[in-house]
Amino acid sequence: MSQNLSSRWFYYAAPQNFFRLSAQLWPWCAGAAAVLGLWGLYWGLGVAPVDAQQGEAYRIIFVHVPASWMSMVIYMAMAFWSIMGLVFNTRLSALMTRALAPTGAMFAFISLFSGALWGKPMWGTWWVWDARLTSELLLFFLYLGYMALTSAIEDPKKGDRAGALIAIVGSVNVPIIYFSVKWWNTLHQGSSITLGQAPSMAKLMLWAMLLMALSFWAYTLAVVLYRVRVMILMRERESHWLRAWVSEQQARGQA
Amino acid sequence: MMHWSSWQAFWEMGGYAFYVWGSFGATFLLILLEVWQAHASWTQEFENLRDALQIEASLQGMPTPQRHSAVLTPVWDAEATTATATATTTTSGETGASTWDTTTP
Repeated sequence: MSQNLSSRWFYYAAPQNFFRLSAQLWPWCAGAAAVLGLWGLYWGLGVAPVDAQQGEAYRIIFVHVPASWMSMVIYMAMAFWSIMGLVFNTRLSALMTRALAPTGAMFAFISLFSGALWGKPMWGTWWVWDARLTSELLLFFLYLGYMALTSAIEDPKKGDRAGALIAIVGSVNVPIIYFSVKWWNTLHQGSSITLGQAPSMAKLMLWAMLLMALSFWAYTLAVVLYRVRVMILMRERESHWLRAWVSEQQARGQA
Repeated sequence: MMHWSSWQAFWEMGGYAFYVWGSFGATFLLILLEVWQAHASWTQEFENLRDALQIEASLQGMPTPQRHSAVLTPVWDAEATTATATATTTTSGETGASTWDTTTP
């Protein structure tokens, strides 16, 4: 069983096989993202009760918290694929890392932007140099740095390796963001949900937030799988299987 | 079940409309932008590869030397080569390159 599993793992590490797999997977992920997202929006914006302290402005957390989670998860995923790429030298790993970066940057930006829009009415300021905010801003810059570096290096293999180093070294920042509210007693409040503890929010609000988080997960999978396909199209343009596939698609389009 | 008494109350968000809708709106726009960008890059890369394959296929029937020269020397390069050749032979060219060519042994 385990041998079967690991051989499958490496089977899909070949771009040719992953190209087919991702074509089948991404529409399902996109569909799941849409359904979960609409469901989460309905609960979060429509059904969930008002917060006693924050009024209706608290509803911002239904995008803010899931986006912040995704911005951290995606960076860890990039570090993971970078390590895989350096250890096993699989071609797909670097493509995964590259495909994840723009979505991670987007979620980091949403986290900062929605946080500012929440901070203005609640804290009375758009921005403070609080530990949580500063480390999240650093995460956003790490994403931008990764993308700038990998796109500036013309040799794709060298770009992959340089990018892998940023992804791995920069991942130190992620636990700092996560624990910043515990380590430094600054303005940003503690976690709404902590593993192994009863969450400090009403059930309905919690469910709405989890639905939004699942929707963002599914969206990320969909867009990353899609973008990996674009990258395979660029990187594997000399290979016979891809050329055969393109002519086949074209023949089907003309028929 | 529903929290709101009217659509107007929903849009007003208890006075926080700008902040709440700003957050949700920005998220929605960025996701749309990313999806559009991903789709556009797919279309572009697919068409690039398809066109390259078509050019290669059209060169397939050509005899080998011609095919090579067609690939290695595009039309504009061929024109440039003839232009330089005429410049060097007339020697009265205004370009530095042509005078240089004639004065050096």
